[in-house]
Amino acid sequence: MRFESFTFEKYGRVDSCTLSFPPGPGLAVIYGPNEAGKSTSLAAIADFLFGIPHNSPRGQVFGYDQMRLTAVVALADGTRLSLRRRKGRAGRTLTNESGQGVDEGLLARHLGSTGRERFCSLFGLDHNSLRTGGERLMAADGDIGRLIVEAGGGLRALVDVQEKMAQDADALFATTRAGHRRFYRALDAYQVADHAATEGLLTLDAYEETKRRCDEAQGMVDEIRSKQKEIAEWILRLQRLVRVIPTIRELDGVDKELAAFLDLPPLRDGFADAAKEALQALKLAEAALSEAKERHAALSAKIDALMQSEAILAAEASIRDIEEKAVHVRKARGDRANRQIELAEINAKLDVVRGALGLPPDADLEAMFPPPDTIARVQKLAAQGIERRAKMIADEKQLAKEDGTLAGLAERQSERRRAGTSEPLGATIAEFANLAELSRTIAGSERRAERIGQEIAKRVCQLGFENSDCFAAWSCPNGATIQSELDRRTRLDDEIAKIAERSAAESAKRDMAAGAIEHLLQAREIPTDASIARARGDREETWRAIRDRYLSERGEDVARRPIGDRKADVDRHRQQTEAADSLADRKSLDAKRVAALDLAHRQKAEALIAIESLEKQRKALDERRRKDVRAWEEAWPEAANRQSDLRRLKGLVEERGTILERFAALRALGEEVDQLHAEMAPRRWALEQAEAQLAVEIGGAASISERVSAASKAIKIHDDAYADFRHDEKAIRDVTLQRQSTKASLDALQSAGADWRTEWAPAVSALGLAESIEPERANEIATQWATAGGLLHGLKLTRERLRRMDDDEKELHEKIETVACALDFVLPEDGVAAGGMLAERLDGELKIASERQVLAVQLKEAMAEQDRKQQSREAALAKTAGLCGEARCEPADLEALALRCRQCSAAKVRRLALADTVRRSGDSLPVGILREQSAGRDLDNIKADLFQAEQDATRLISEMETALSEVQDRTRAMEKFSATGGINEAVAARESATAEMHDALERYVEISLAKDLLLAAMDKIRAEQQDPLILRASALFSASTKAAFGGIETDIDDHGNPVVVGRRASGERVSVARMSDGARDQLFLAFRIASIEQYCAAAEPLPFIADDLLVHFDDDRGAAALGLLAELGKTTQVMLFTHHRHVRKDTEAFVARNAANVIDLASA
Amino acid sequence: MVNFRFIHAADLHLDSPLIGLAKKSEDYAARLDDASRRAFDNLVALAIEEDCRLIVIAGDIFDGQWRDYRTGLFFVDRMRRLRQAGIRVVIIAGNHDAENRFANRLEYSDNVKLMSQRHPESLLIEELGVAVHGRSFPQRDIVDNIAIEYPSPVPGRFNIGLLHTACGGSEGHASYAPCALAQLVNHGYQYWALGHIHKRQELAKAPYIVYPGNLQGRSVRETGPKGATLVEVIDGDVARIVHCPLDVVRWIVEDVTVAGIETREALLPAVRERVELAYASCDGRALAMRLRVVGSTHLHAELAATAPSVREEIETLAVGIASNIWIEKVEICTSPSAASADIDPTVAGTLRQAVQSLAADPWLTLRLEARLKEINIKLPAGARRDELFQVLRIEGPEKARTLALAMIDQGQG
Repeated sequence: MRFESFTFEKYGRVDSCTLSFPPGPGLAVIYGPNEAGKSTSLAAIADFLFGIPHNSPRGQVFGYDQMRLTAVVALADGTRLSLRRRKGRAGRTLTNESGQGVDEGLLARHLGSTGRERFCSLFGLDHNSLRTGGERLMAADGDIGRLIVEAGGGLRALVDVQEKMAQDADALFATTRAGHRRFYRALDAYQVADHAATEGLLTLDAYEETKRRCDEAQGMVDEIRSKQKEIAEWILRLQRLVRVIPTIRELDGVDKELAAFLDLPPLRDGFADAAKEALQALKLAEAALSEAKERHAALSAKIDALMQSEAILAAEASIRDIEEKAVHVRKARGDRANRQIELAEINAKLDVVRGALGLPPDADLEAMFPPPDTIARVQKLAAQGIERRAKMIADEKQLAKEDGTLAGLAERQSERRRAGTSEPLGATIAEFANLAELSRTIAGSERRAERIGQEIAKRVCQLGFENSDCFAAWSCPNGATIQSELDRRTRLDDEIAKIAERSAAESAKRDMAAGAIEHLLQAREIPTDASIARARGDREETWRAIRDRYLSERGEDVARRPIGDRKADVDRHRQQTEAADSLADRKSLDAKRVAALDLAHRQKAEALIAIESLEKQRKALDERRRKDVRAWEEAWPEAANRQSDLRRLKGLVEERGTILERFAALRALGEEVDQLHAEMAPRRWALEQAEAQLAVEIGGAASISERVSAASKAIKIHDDAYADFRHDEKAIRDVTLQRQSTKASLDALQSAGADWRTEWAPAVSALGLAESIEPERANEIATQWATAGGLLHGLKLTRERLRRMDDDEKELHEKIETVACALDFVLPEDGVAAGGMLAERLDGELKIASERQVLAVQLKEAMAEQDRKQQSREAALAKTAGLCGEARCEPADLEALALRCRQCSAAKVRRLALADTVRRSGDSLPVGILREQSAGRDLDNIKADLFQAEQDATRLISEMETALSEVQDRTRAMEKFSATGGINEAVAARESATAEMHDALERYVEISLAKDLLLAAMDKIRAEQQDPLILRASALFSASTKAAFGGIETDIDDHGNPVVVGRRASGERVSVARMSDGARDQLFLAFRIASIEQYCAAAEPLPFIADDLLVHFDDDRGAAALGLLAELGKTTQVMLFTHHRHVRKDTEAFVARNAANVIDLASA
Repeated sequence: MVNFRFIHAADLHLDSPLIGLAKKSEDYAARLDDASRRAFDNLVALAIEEDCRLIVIAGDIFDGQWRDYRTGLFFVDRMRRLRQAGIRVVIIAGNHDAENRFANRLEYSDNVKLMSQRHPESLLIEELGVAVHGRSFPQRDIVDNIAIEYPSPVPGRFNIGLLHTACGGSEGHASYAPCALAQLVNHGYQYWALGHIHKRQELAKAPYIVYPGNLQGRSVRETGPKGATLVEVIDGDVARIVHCPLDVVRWIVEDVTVAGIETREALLPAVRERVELAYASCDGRALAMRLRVVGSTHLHAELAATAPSVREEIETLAVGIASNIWIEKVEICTSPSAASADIDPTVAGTLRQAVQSLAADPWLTLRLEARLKEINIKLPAGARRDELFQVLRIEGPEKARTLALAMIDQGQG
């Protein structure tokens, strides 16, 4: 595949560029300075062949839409393809010239299995790759496999990948144990987990053993529990015996007592008690009968002793009537004196009334008494008249007072109207409150504004501006812009300074190298290749002349030659031969000097190249700096004219900013002053108005504050007076209203007086009074009449009471006389006393009668009681007789018999109680059994046995605790089995470690086998390709080194690995490590070219693209390398991009030989 | 007849560890070590919740090699719980139980019936009208058709055949107590409760012949929902059967295709989608997942060469989705995209050919065996060596070939 032309549009920073490759030789040296688009061209070719990557950075300037890569390529089979590539989805970006889509396969099938990466690594080479490749050859020390792979195959990263994989494999597993290896870490974890799993395992045997021990412990507990039960029962038995034995002894005593009553007849239960009861009842019945008889006799005697008066009892009702009347009369007799006093007092009061009415002392008031409503009417009207008159007097006084008040107020208001204080002023003190302060503020601001203005004007002049306006209008960049420019220039200056430093360093290197060369050349001639060649050339030239003459057909030429000259020729030829041979012979001896000279030459050349490059860079930077300055001056002419120094300009601009800020502040201050003036103007006018209104005069030189103070005082006085005026106005209104009210009230009273008088005359005349009588007097008379009415009524009542007292006295006397005739004793004369006596005697008789009645009842009851007692005695006698019959004894023996019976019964009861006690104490066991158990046992012995048994019980409790503890421990051990016991965790951890080991080993085996495969594959390739590849590379290497190396050969290193070595022209073998850098680079290049030739022989040739490959080569080797590339150009197209003129110059020789073309990228 | 529900379970393999999960965090053990126990607890809870009257367990309650007696105690304890709930349990010993040292020496509560090892036995449960027939494995390797000897169905009863068998043979399972499906169908039972095969299968519906599968998946070979079968019997017929997932850790194998994925970065979102989908299907259970990256891609070489870091990235991603997701393994099964059929005359091409040729050569097998020999002496006996070696022998050469080719591709630069 050969590119005939290649155009890239809107690609990277290149708008459009076309490379036309002339027909003919395959080597095209594409020359272009830096920034000419060299790298862009390289990338564009790869993109054309393999598509523009999705994230290509080449679209940053023009975007992707118009990006186009167009090429005309000629294939090995003669086909020509004209294709265009655009950016887009993979597989749809290739078109023909007319824009129609073309199958990607059209290009792909000629690329074969070569992808972008392979193309770039195998068919692309730059000086860095070349140098790196050379260095890697040194590191590999000629390993053929690596040479083939890295140099020949472009697989420069394969060894790294291999080594990385080897490291990975080593970190996974090796037969040697190491802590960093993943397998062994997992193995450790496995072993720990496995140990834990084994330790934690509960086998059936272990479980059964534990269970057996648990059962044993439980059996021990059961056994002890059984013993405890037995001993507890034994203790209970002993304790029971201890409890019951004393009672059993007592029971035995009672049985002996009962034996003494065996002679008693068989009597029923309770006979003794019945006998005792019967005897006791008999005694009681006899005593009660005697007592009843005595009581009956006493009552009979008592009744007989009580005597009664039948006459008094018969007149009981009359006597009670007399007694009541006598009480009434006695009471009236006590009240009579009071009634007499009361009559005297009423008469005295009536005398007073008569006097008040002007009647004679004997006047019959009762006959003259007026009707009560007349008296009340006069009293009412009199009260009304008195009240109305008092009100009228008060109203008249109030009216006069209000008239006076109104007159006074009217006079004060008239005076205020005259003084002008009857109207408001229209101004307040507050309006002028801060007038003085405002005035001072304005004055201060004006002074500050003036000072700032002067300072600004002065500084502006100092900075060279005519005035502030010019200063403000000055066009200049801002600080950031200047700083940016300043930074840019500083960077440029820094770069220039660095270049100067590097240039100086390179000059020093050059001088050192020159000094070394001079030093080396000062000694005998150095057998460099050039000097040897030169010496041989001289020898050849001399020999050619001699030979020409010697072989000349014209023998006279030799003959004509003087013998001296011929000798001289021979000597010269011999000397030259010797010199050349000597030089050649010394080459190996002076190898060190030769190498030093080579090195010095190379260093000098490199230094010169570097100096030249640095000088170019410096010039470019100088030019760039000048352009920057010009651009700056064009952009900011005013600023540049005024200040060319950017730092000063920046300072000026920054100060300008400060001044402009102050200027703006000054303007703001002026505006503020104007605003204050505007604010103050209406207040000053108000002050003047107030001064005029209030006629304040304090002199023309008075300050604002003095004026404000005076005006304020005057305003306050005016405001106070005006407030008084308003207050009095309100008072006048209020008093006027009050007066109107008073007048109305007075008028109403006068009207009511007329009506009153109409009623007054008839009312007073009804009391016999004249119409003209004063109400007070009329009221007094009416009151006297009302009093007289009450007195007259009281007099009448008192007289009636005295009359009724006399009637009662008389009636009492008559009743006593009626009763007295039937009595057998004499009564007193006084009725009240007689009544009292009668009542007293009646009460005595009634009491005696009552006592007799009671005694009669008691006597009857005593008789009945006596009968009942008699019957009881007879019953008791009968019962006793019955018992005697039952016991077949005499009544006299009954009591003794009953006593013995009772004693016998008591003994039996006691025996029962004892037997019950024995039973209860003996845990309800029958007495017989208990007696049997206790038979023959001594209580002390039993207690001793009990003590021993309790000791045994205590011991068993202790044993039981131990056994229970054992059971608990063993049960706990059993319960632990219900949990997983950690074994599952351990097993899980073991499985985890196993998984880790498997994972590590799987990867290890994968990598190890892959490595084995690769090494074996490389061995196979070496075996198959080594000879042809080395043969071709050897020829190329020899050519590129101008035969300094005769070629390359294979050898075996100390480790037995096959390696390549260089063979010098002298036949000396040089290992790759001992080769110079340049030689190694050439070796690398030779292998690469040989490999590409091999590829091109088998597949569609692809262009080889070299980017500044020859940087590290000296002129001769550079030319030789060019020769190699030209040689490769015969096989496939070779594009050598370079920005070095000397490369272009060197190419001229090949161009002249029609072995290369030069394409100038700048003109493309 | 009495209507009732019963549960058919099998292959509990109690306390059998989960295989292949590397420890990723401290709570790893706490989450996974008792997975089989928690799954069985789920079974007990289900039986109580569904008011079941009977549970039949068709063998392999325990692991054959498992010696920790606590496992037996755990099972006995759960049997007591079922007794308290009034649930009868009928079990047969499977090949693993026969191999186990303690399985037949446990002291069960009276609600449990372990069927005889000597001959098929029938248990009549009067209150349910059920006859359960079954026989325990007397030893691990029963190769006879023991189902032939199973009793005839009891008339008027719901007959359940409890059998541990490789019915019809099944890949991956030993062919113990083999029998034919037709034989079971014709035996006359209403329900055959089978065990031994860990994958749930419904072999027939008339009558129902069912493998419920195991209760908890134990490795990546046992994927998907695991549990037991709930059977409802109405009027003497199976009215419905429901498979109830009871596992606590779900094993899933998912493929992530890289077709159309341009960059390594774009791979992770695709993985995330698969992992999230898989986790969502687990209903909150822990997820143990194997991811297979498949498809042809130009990333093939990169992925093959950096497989460990791919795995780490995926594990990190999984942790970000949920804390109870374990990535068991990430398999890079990709292939190079659109390999050219043209002869590659470059050194790389020749190298690739050489690798391909050598990989097909017995030489590589010899190299593998040499590596295995190295490993063999270091690997502990209990670390499932045979399993690993089997995997390595099957997959190792191919993986090595793929990696070597990837390294060649990576080497170009």
